[in-house]
Amino acid sequence: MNDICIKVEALSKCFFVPNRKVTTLRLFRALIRQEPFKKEYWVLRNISFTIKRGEKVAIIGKNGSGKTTLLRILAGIYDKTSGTIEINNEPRALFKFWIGLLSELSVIDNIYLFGAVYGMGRSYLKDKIDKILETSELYLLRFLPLKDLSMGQRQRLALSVFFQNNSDFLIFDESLAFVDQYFTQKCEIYFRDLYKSGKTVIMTSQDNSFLRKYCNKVFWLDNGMICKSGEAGSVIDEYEQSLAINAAPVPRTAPRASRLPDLPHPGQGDFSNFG
Amino acid sequence: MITIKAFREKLKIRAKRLMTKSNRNVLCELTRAYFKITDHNSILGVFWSFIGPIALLAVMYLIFKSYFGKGIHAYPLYLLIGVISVNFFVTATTYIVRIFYINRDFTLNAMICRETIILSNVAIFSYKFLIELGCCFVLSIFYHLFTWHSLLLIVPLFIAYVALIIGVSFIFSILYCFARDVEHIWMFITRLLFFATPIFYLPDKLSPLAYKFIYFCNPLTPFLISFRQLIMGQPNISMHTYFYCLSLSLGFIIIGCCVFLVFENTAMERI
Repeated sequence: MNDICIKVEALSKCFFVPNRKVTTLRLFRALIRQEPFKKEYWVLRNISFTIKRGEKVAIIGKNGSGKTTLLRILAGIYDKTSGTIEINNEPRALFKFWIGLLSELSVIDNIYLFGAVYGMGRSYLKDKIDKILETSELYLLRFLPLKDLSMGQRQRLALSVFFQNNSDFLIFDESLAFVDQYFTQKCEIYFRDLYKSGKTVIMTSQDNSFLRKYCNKVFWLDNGMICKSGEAGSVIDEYEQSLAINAAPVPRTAPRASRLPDLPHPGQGDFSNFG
Repeated sequence: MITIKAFREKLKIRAKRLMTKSNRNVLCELTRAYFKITDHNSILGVFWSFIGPIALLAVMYLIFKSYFGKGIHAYPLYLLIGVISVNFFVTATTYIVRIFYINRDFTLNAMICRETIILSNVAIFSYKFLIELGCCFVLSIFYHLFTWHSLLLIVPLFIAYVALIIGVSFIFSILYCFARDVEHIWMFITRLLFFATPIFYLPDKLSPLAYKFIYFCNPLTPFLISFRQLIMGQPNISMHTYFYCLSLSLGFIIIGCCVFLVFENTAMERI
């Protein structure tokens, strides 16, 4: 049996972004002058790694470093620009908890819909419905339309359904952000069991202590490249040190210009869509 | 640009993925969900889907019956078939053109085949059309025009019409991701289609050139002619038109699938 879950070689992803403000006049001018209207924006550059079955991998890095784009490519949502990806298990990825929920539908109906979107059939979920409602603490509200629940309750519902997934390869993208402290304890139990299981997990989070606890391998992404990888503790320590250095206060006497941030260069722009 | 070999490989993978149990589950649940939320919190509910076509039918009957309706037996039925067929095509495609834009978050964050979103929406519109066709059959019984063999022949025609809508939706929903102008262009085309389809007039009364134009340049005309021939129990059903409809829908679905497969990923990065 193949021991490798994912093998990625020289993976790159490029988006095309406008290099000036788009107006009809400028578009026509660019067409007449045959000037390029869009430029390449490399979000991931030459990434190679291998993940074995059963490994728990964290991907860390600043906002806009390419984490979500990488996960979307692994999940098959985005196409790669170049490189090769070999995936031996079909992943189940949770990007945003509200994806697969419809606010007009009742809690029960949303459980079936959300479950189907994440690979769980009606027959499979029928036996789990009580457990889901109990975990999410929404048993009394099960016939209420989702729009009447708070965002926290919706997140609890989504996570409770996703936790029933029996896929061997799971992807979590900042899935526990905004969870309240009480539900975090329930999530901790799930992730503790997941850590002990033979499932392959890839996750991203801004909570480094969480990643330290439940991951044994870390890839540190910066400017679309893996700048460090290895055992979770040591890489996260280095990452935190680099964050501390970057966050050091700028002396008050410094000239105003030097305090301005650098213009974004490939892999650093604030494109919420790109990861 | 994608090579033929890569396209073939992609087609194979996609066909396999579409047939998986997991994808069938998604299609069923999405259809069920859309069905539940259609006309949600509405007092008249599903009747709203009929009120529009019935109002249009009433106005058209009053205006056109004395001029265009002369010599057409069971003119209300003739009009009703025209109105519901064209209405189905126009409302379904106009809504689905924007489907990926409306469901942007869902499209970019869920690991589902994106065709499923289109198919589940087409299923809802098709369900309504099916009920409307049922009403036409009731009217055809009233006029003593109903025949059993037409009921059998209408099933493949209905499937072909739905396939035509799926094909058109695949093409225009992808194009919409690249340019929002597609919506305006489509609105313009559908308005023209309304007059270029023999809804309230007899196509035989047109000049030969105009007839050829609406028959060969407008995919709705052969479908409408076939629907009418079957529901109105005409003795000489034109099999030529019937098979032309089937081949038209096959052509559109093939072109739609090709456009979807080739441009899907680029389109998703642009929505």
